[in-house]
Amino acid sequence: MPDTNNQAQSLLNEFKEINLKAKNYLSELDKKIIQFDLKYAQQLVKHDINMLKAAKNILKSKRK
Amino acid sequence: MKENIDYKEKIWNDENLSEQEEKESPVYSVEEQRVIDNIDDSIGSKENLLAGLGRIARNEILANDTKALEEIYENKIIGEVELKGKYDAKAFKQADKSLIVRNSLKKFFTFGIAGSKYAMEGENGLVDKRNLKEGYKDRKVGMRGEEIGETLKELDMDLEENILGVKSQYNEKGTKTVFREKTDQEADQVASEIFERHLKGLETETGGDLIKQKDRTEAMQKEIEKYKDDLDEKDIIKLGAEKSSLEDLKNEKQEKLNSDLELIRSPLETHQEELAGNLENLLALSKEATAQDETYKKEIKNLNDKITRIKGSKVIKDFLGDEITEWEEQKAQLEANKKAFAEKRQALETRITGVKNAKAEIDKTLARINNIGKTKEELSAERAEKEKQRKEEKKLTKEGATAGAGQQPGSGVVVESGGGGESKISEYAVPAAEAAGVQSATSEGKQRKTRKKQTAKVETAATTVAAGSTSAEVRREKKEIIKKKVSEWLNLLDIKNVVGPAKTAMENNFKVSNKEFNLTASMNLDQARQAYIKYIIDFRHGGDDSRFENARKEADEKFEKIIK
Repeated sequence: MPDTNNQAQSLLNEFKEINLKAKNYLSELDKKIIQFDLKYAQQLVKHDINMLKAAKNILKSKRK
Repeated sequence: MKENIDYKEKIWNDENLSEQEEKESPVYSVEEQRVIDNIDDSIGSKENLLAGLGRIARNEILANDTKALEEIYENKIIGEVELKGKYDAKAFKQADKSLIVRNSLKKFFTFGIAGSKYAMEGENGLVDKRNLKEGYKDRKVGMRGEEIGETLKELDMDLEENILGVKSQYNEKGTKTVFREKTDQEADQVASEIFERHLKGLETETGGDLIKQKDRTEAMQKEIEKYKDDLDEKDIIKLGAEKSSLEDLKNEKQEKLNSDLELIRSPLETHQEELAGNLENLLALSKEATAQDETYKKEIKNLNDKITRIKGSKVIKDFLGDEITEWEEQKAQLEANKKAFAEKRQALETRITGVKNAKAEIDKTLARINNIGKTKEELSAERAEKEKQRKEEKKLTKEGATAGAGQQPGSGVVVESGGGGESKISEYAVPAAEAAGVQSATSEGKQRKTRKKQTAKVETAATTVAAGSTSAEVRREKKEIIKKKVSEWLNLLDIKNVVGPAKTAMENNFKVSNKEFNLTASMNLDQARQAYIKYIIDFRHGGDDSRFENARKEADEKFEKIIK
């Protein structure tokens, strides 16, 4: 009986360990996906700034 | 983390965002709401990974083309309706006078407390004061809120979606045209169409002209060659002058085409590089997530096997006593992890598909651009050259990989990393190595049965590690080995058919050991890189050496791509 009890306790510990490792990985993955999204958003913003600069140039050239 | 997940969902799921905001958002003033809506529209369109070519065309390629911009941002006509009695412009004007009188009388009798819901607004004429509250953009034509609503109803349009930004114009024939501002997606679509017209024009007109000119020059050359023995000196001089004039014309056309194409090519290449980088990162993440997910499932399966082997989960429950809650918590965590793995893999797939589609569109367009103005002979020569390069690269990679794999240590490296220590193994290899390590540590009964399988996995991981750790060496070796003709380097660097200052810069710099410019001379990679840097400085920056850093960076990027 104590042997089974030990085995059960050991399995629970193993279960915890496996789950924690997966949870930590998922958390890291989530951060990486967010980083990608932010980088992509930054690229889009950069292009928007280019557009604003171009629009400004057009307006300036019209005033001349 | 919950906040992070919410943020990400906001970026990727418009529908959920709208639903969530509808439930939670407080009541804003009309002006605030309009600003919020505009920002939402803008965010919505920016989130669209598939905005692709139209967006690039609108923002960058056509950004200085006033005519194109006018077409892109021109209001979109959403329909034309016949004017009816009370909404007729004339009827409105007549009502205006009587209303002013009525309003004045009302004000007079109520000491200014009461008044009409109508008001005069400068040159705009009669307006419905309620419209001011409702924040309608267009009061100039005197349209009332209900009139806009009815108009939209007549046109079978959704009032909620279209109420902002709707404008109308009365026509002489007694009709009214209703139009609104274009959405970002619509503007992208128009930009994409203009860009396509522009590209078609370059392909058929500018490029077509150049091809004809090239063919004429070539034909002339052949004729001269064919009859040179029968011609007298005078004729040869005359024909030579004619040929030279044809060549000048050809060069002129080539220069014009090159400058037109450069405007298009440059932003597209920037996007292509960015998207390629994004794709590479996403694919690596996705591969890693898949491996981790599979490892996790195997670990859980092994655990279940062990549980079954002792006496069944029911018995465990009895023995765990007070710890039963912890067991249940872990089971809940298992479900949560499984769900999260599925969600995150799906999230990565969505992004990969989006980036792939956007990149494919740009790749296709750049390939089209690269073919403009080239004769059939030039195109088939290029194809043959590419095929030759592809074979050479393949051979080099194969040789490098074989040499690298032979020098690597065996499975010991992998076992160490599987034990949980810090490892410099590539991210791809880690999950496989971990899977093998964890399995060997935890599985008992099945260990013997699966040993063969695990060994195979360990070996696979070891090969991956080996290939990863020698890639730098292989690349360095490749750099040393690579030696090509000047013409081949120029081809790889897209310096083709250049004329004028570009040609001068090319001829001055792509020389080996200060000898004469010679297309068949042999040049190694470092020499080609130096020549390209000088070429950029001379051609793009008018010989300004202070731009060296920029030129070097550009050259490094270009050569990095070539080496890859």
